[in-house]
Parts: sequence; structure tokens; C-alpha cells
Amino acid sequence: MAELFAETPSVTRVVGRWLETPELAEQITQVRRTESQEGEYAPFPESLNKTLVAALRRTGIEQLYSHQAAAIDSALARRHTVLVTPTASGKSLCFHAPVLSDLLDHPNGRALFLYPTKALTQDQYSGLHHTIEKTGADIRTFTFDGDTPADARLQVRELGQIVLTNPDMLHAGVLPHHTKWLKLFKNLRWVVLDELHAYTGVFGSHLGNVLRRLKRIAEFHGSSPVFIAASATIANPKEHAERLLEEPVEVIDRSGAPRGGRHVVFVNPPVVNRQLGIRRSYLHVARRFASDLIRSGVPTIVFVQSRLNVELLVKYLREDLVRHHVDPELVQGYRGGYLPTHRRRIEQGLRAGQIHGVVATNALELGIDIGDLTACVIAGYPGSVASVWQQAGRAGRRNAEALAVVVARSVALDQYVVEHPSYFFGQSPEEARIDPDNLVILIDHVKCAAFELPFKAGERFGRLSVEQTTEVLDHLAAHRILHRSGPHWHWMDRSYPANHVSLRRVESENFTVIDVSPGSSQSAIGDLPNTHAGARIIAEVDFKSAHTTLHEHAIYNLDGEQYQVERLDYENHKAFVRKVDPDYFTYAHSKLKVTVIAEDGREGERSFGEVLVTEKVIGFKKVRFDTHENVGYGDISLPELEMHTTAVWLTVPEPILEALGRDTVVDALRGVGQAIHTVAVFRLMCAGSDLGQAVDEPEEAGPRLYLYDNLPGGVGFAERLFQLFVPLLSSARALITGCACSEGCPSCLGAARNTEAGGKAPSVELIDAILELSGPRPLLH
Amino acid sequence: MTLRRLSERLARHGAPGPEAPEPELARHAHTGPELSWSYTETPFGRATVSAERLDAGPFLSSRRPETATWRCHHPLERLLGDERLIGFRPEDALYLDIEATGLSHGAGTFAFLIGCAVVEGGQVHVEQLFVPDPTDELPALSRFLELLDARPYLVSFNGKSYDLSVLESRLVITRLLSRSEASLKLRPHLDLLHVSRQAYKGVFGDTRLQTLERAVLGLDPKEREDDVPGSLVPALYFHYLRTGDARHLEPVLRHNRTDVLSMVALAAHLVDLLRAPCGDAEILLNLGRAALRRGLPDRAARLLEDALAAGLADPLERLALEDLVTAARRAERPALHAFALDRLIDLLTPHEATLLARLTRARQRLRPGVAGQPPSRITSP
Repeated sequence: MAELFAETPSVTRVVGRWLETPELAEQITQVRRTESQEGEYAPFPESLNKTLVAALRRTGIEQLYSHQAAAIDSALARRHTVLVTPTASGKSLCFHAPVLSDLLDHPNGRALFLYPTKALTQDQYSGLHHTIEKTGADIRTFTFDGDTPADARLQVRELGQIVLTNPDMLHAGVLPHHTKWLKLFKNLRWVVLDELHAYTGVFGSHLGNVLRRLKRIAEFHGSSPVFIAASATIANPKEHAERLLEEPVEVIDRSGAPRGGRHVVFVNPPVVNRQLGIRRSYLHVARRFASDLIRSGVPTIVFVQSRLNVELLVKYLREDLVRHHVDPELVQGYRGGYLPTHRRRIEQGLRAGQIHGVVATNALELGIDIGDLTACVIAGYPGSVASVWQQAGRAGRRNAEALAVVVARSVALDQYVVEHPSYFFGQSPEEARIDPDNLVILIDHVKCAAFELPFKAGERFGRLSVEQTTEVLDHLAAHRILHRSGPHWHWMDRSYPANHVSLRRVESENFTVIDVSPGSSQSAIGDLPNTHAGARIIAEVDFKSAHTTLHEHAIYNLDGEQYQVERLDYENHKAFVRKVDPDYFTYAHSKLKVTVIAEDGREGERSFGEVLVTEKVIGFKKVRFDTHENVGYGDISLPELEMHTTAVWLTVPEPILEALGRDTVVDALRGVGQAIHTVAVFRLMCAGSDLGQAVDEPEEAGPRLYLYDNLPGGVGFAERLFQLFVPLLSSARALITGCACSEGCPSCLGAARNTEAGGKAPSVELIDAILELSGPRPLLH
Repeated sequence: MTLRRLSERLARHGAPGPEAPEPELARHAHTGPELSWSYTETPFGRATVSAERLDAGPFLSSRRPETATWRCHHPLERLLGDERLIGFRPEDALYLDIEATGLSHGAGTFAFLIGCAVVEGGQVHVEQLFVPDPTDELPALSRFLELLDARPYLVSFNGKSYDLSVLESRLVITRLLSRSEASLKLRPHLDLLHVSRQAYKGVFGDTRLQTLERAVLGLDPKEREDDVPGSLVPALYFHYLRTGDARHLEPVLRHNRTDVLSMVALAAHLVDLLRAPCGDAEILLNLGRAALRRGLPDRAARLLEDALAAGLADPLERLALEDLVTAARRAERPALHAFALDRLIDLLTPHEATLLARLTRARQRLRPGVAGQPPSRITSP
């Protein structure tokens, strides 16, 4: 074992070997090497505290990268500053240096550092602590999260000059208790937001509101902090930061850091059925490449899209290791839903080098430095160029030659990316979008804000006008959540509102998964207390996913083990499962219905506005492991899920219906819907699941295609898509005609079509007819 | 979603969150005369007060028959490890109990009723400060600070983690505390819950104030007959805010008044008990064990001797003897140490061979001259 991992072979050699193996070479569509880059340097800015400069010199830093100097200058001039440079470009120093310098000059000053996850907070603490030690100054720094013991909290509140926490804790544990954090809020000079690009969609929209509350509380206590944010590359850092912070920002986006070379290998699983465009399972292909890397002694991380796939791939990779007589424990899974102690153990194993292969969901994507990983296998395009670079950045952080392998799924977005590598390697066109004014989210935070401090007449919440703020407050008063008394609105409910608001999604009522297998209390997963004799909580599942993963007879996967759901107690949000050893897993289907509630805008055949989306999970398939063949079917009877959101929709007009025939149009529209969903997801930098798509035949009009924000209230995707609709149709056309399949496949037209309906032609014809009506054809890229 | 047509959208989204069901208010409606309020001027306007004076006798003279054979010095401060309580007298304290708008002590929970009591000239003065509208919080808090500043000690029941947290938070929000940053929590404060837990743990089932009222102070349960469940209290206040109808608040005031008065009596009782420990064997055992934990082996040895003398049944007797072994050894009382060892050895079951060996060795290490004679005050059963 020791010899196996004694020396890490060069990734260049591994890639060379792949290219010489015909079976692998035929799947590799693209090998690029990002060139190494020389550094650009600058001296320490004059404004930087001399003690700090001396300390930095002692750590071997004689000068700064140009972007570091620019960021420090800007921040010390008390400008809100946003830094946009690649992974491993010395980003931390850009906010460590100005904050420490300032706190050395203002010993009463306080700073708050926000990281998107708890694990990342813990990890970043050690780096900051190390720098502070070198200054010899007594700048007391603490992490504050759900794991902070009660007796340590007082100390953090009283003494912490720098507090590292996450948005969830700020929201539920700090702001509602601001009167206990007097020292922090009276003297708050800095708020640092690392990983700014992580705050998109729902999470970002929530954070925008948490920051509105933070500024409100800081103002009450007499402080006005400067924000420093750091982001991976996105198209609109200035717009995004200004929307989130509601302050003008200075953007620094020219990296002066030297970079090591990195091979990026694009892999497209081979087509096994050209007629239907079916490709070999990407998981098998990812397994093949990852297994080769791990057995060659290259420390490797594999990113997959879902918890289910983490479990599947861990199972497969361990089987490979056993077959080659290697300890299967060298490969571990890592994903949300694992209990914290379990995750800590894995993180330690990675750092200590006892674990050589990790299969992770994107919980690990954000800048956790987990050690000397050299290669990264990304199984399935993670939804954005920025995510790929982030995930790739997990491997090869130490300037050595690194490797990233991107394995495309057969889904349309992946195929689009793998077949159009220029998009990937060119300037990122992706945008981070949030909507802090999303009504559902906004109202939740106005409630939290009113709990923290009564609202005064004439007050504005964030960028809302006085009238809008008043309208929301009066609405809450009408529902007896607030009490208006003279010029004030007071909180008037016995609950603690932050507990009912989760920043990560709109609904917060998780289901618990309870193992009732005999002897389950000896299971090694973690240390939650037993609920009753022999039973134990093994995981939590969010409300929406529960409908598709915890229905009765579902196979629930956890840590490479399979459990069958015996009973779902829907009322009490509990699923009782028993360990089983099946040869299949389950996959649930649902049916969608969209109803227009209000049309807010129309141009030609397309509109946007508010809709009600009703989803009913109707049944599930049993799919065999390994072969992935369908081995059975079952019904599911669960309540419908209803969601008010915003949508853009296209109604096919009468002349086109007559020309092409109604049935043909409906079927073609399903294909167009799939294609346009693909290009829209790519363009909006959102997860495929953030955007819903449905085709409907309303009685009063022609067939309709809907694209909707897949969360209550929406985050503004629909309105943006309304503006982009024509260029997106052109891109969708290019996607369909450019696809390697002959008759239309799941990668271009999707799987929901009637395959008898005649290939790609009707969809292309339909797009052309609509574009004809829309006038001259602008191009997206 | 844009904010255009906000009101329409707000209407569509319906109720903005889980609403507390309207409580069964009728059951708690007051049928008697209207509440009578008086007003006290403060620098921030007038505070709304319900004031009352009662003869202090019944509260302070729940004093126990003097059966104790010895007295403890500084018992409170030693038991709680809080030197600021040296010299505490029940007459020198402000007794405090609040009714608030929520059970959490986040910034948005405020006290709408601050129940205070002081003992003065043989009378108990009860002063309940009411907040008739959230904007009237400032005068109530201001009056509370006046009352507090006039007394060196504060007495509460669980006030350390609840009442004071709520009040302190609101003093910050109303900016009454903003300049000094002085913490209410730094004041000498006797939290009766903490003392009760030490003295009564396991004796009466639980150590809630209402349990102790009945079990320790002998309060007639009828006094609490129409008591409001604590969980309903915020809803009753909110109902009053919405309707201006104060009838439902009357039971809340009565509940708060009973709590404050019980605290006066309980404080007097506990101070007496700790100064001159006597009575129930289980209480003496609790106090003895607490003294041992606090590093007071002499006191612990005496209390445990008393507990054993008063008669303890099996599991507790053994517990008392185990602690007595430790206490006597630390207090360097070899005769008592030997006695406790001998009696403990007698109680061992045949399965406890290892422990038997250990205890026997400990017994042999004591000077051979020490006889395991029971000290005079302990009578063997």
C-alpha cells in the first residue's frame, strides 16, 4: 500500500496513457492545457500598518501581487471592494491585510467574516489565525456557528474582534440577539464576504435581505462597516455585488498571481444507440477514469451532481478497489445529509492522507483546502463555468501541474458544453442573479427585521421605497404579525421568526429518515440519539425532495447502503426505512400543470407574469443497478405541491397551428422547450433545477411553452428570459441542428416527445416559424 | 418578482406565516371589577402601575421550627459560589418576575408586565409595571431601574437566563443602557431556581415555582386554580393590544402577583434552611452533596451525617455514605471516615468484590487505633 502511493505520477503521463488507450481516447473530445502565467507584483501600500508589513515579511512575503495591492488600497480608503480573481491567487490576503491593518490601528474595531458554509469557516479560520500570530498582536478571532458551545458564546460576543461565521448563523443566531453583541455592532468596521459567487438564486436573495438587516442594526448601534467581497469569475461581479450589498463597489478583476498549468480533459461517453442518441452512462465513464487515477496513486476528488450519485459511485469505486486488492476505505463519500461528526472525520482523513479518493457533491466545491489533491473528476457539468473552475481548483492548489476531467452526461446542457468548448474556454458569459425583492423572501426578512428593531414610519427597508416598505409592514400588521402603534410597527407574535426562515431554500420543513432495522443503533453513521428502541435518525431530506425520494417503497441511498421506505408519515415529516440489499434503485415521476394568474408583459406571442405551478408525483420506476434497465413500476399517492412563481410563456398562434398541424406543434414544442431550457440554464448560470419547463394546452389558447422560476415567488429569471427570448430561440435552434444525433435525442429535444413524430424537423420548423413572426433574428453570442 | 402591484401580490400570498391559533380566551375572561391602575411619573413619561401593600408576616414567618443543631455561615454565597451574596437578607432585595411577549430572549421579546416586590416596614410592597402599548415600554423600564437601584440585591426565579436577558435586551433597544454598557447581570442576584435545584432536586418531582409553593411553602392549590398557562400569556396580551379589552389580562396579573409573592416566601424559607439546615433527610443529602462539590468537606460531612441520622432508604443511603467517605477523608475526620467505610462495606452486594477490596484497603490504611464507632449524633438503624 505504501509503495503504491509513495510517488504521485505526473498527470501529464496519465493523460498521455489515456490518449494511447483507444477505448479511452475515443471518448476524449478535448484536451486543453491552461498555460502557466507569470506573476505581476507591487510593493506594500503605504497605508498598510507597519507591524503587519513586518509580520508579512516574516512569513516570506516580500511584495504583493498587483491585485492584492490594489484591493488593499481600495479597502483602506474605505471603499466597498469586490475582488474577482481565480482560485489560489492569494485572495484571502486581500481582505486579511486591510482588516488586520485597520484593527491594529483601531484596537476597538470589529470585523465580521462571512463564508457560505460552516466547514469553510472552520478551514479559513486557521489561515487567518496563523497570519495574526505572526503580527504578534492580540487580535482575538473566533468562529461562531451552530457548533460553538454555549459557554464559549459569551466570550465570542464580548471579546471577538474578528468573528467568522456563515449567513445562516448571522441570520438566526446573531442579528436577532444584536443586543447581546453590543461590542460588535457598535464598532463594526468591516464585513467580509468570501465566495460571493455562491450567493446566487434563492440563497443570494436571502443574503441580500440579511445584509439589509445587518446594516439596519449596525446603523442603530452607530457603525457603518465597509464591505470587502471576493468572488470567482462571473460575468457581472459589479452588478451582482451592488445588488447584494446595495452599495457602490470598486471591482478589482485583474489577477497578478502566477498560475501553474492545468490539463482539462473533456470526456463524452460514447453513443451506444445513434438512432435514439443514447450514450453510455456517464457515471460508468467517470468511474473508469477516477478508478484509473486512484489506482495510479493520483489523489483524486470526484464531483457528482446528487447525493444518490455519491452513493452509487462510492459503491462502484470500492468494488473496483477490492477487485484490485486495495483497501476500499481509501474511497469515501462526502455530501450534505451526513452528520457533522462523520463529515469532520472525512475532512481529517483527507488532510492526513488516509483517504485518497473522495466522491463529493458540491458541498466541497467551495474553497475548502482539503490537502494535496492532484486530480479532479467532474461527473456531469455542474451547471456553470465558474463551478467547473471552482471544482477543478480543488485539485492542484500548490502550483503543480493539475488535472481536471469533465465527463458529460447525456443531458442537453452537458452535450451543449462538451460540443461547444469555445464557450467553456472563452470569456464566461454567465451571470449571477438574485432578487432580494422576491416577495416571499422579502416578507420573511421584514418579519425578522421587525423582531430585531421596531420599524419607524418613514423608514426604508433596503432599496425599497418608503411606500413599499409601509405596504409590507401594513400587510404584516393586517395579519397580526406586527402591531402598529403610532409611528411604530412592533413585532407581535410569540415565535422567533428567524427559526422559521431557512436561507438555503424557501420551505424549511425537512423530513427525517428513521432507520427501524434491527440493530441499527450500532450503525457507524453518527451519534444522533435513538428515537425509540432499535430505531435511529439517519438523515434529513428537504420538503420537496421528500416527495420523490421518500415515498413508500422508495429505495433511499445513504453511505453506499440502501434502505427501503416502509412507511411515510407525511403529517409528521418522518420516513421509516429498513436496510435492504436490492439490485435496483427507484426513480420518481411527476406531472406538472401551470395556470396563468396575471400577465405582466407581452410582446408578440410571448408573455411573462405570475403563474401557479402544480406538481403531483404520480409514480416511480425501479431501475437495476449497473445495467440501469427498467425492472418495475409503482404508484405514488402524495399531496400536490403548489407554487406561486413567475414564468415566461410562448403561445403558438393560430396560423402556425394551421400550417403545421396541432399535434405536430404540441410535440415539437416539447422538444423546443427542452432545448431552450438547456441554453437558458447555461445563459443564466443557474442550476437546471432552478428553472422549470412545461408544455400545456390551455382551453382558451394555442399550445403553450412555459419556463418558470422553480421556487416560490421567483428570483427574476422569467423576466430576464422574456428579454432574451428571441436570441435564446436562435441558440436552441443551433443546439438542435448541431446535435450529433439523427432523429432528435434526450440531449437536444429531450425524452418527453412522442418518438413517432418525426425527428428534429418539426421543432426546427416551429422555431423558424416563430422567429419569422418575431422579425429579424438577433444572435445570442 | 418586482414590487409593482405589491398589495395585489401580498393579497395573493395570503397569510405571511404560521399564525398562532386564537386561544380559548373566554375561559380566562375576568368577570370581576375592572383593573385599577395608578400612575408613577418617570423622566420618560408616566408608568402604568398596579400597586398593593400586604402584611409581610405570613411571607417571612414561614420560618421553620428551630430543630437544627448547628448553623452555617455564608451558606448562600458558598452554595452558589457567588461572593456578592455575602450578607444577603430577604428584606434587602427587589423580587422580580416578568411576563413577556415570547419565550425566546431575542431582541423582539419584551416584558409587558414587570412584577416587582420589596419588603419594607413589615409590609410587602407589590408593584406591577404594565406596558399598555409597546410605545410605553420606556417609562416601565425606567421605573424598574429606579426600584432596582434602591435595593442592593435582586431575587428572581430563573431570572438569570430569562427575565434579566429580556430586560437587558430591551434596555439596549430603548437606549436606557446604551451609555453605561453596565450589565444587569453584574448585580448581586439570587436566582431561587439555582438554589432550589441544589436543595430540592429529586425531592418533589420537579423544582418549578408552583411545585415548591405547594410542597415547601404549603400554599393552597386553590390560589392557582384559574391560573393562566404560561404558553397562553403572550396571546392574551396581543389580544388586548388588538382589542383594548383588558379583561383577559386580569388572570395574568394575578398569576404574576402570586409568583412574586411566592418568591418572597421561598427566599425567606431557603435562607433559613441554609443557615440552619434541618428536617427532610433527602434535602440534607442534597445540600451535603452540593457542599462537597463546592469544596466544603467539613460542612458536607455534617450535612451528610444529619441526613443519615434523619433516615435514608437504600439507594440514597448508599449515595450519602459514598459522599461521606470522601467528605470525612477530606475534612480529616478519621473516626467518621472509618464509620462511613464500615457502613458502606456492610451495604455492598456479593457482586461488588472489587469495590469491597478497595474499601477494605482504605479502611485498613486508617490508623489502627481508629475504631469504627458511630459518632454520637448518628444512631444506627
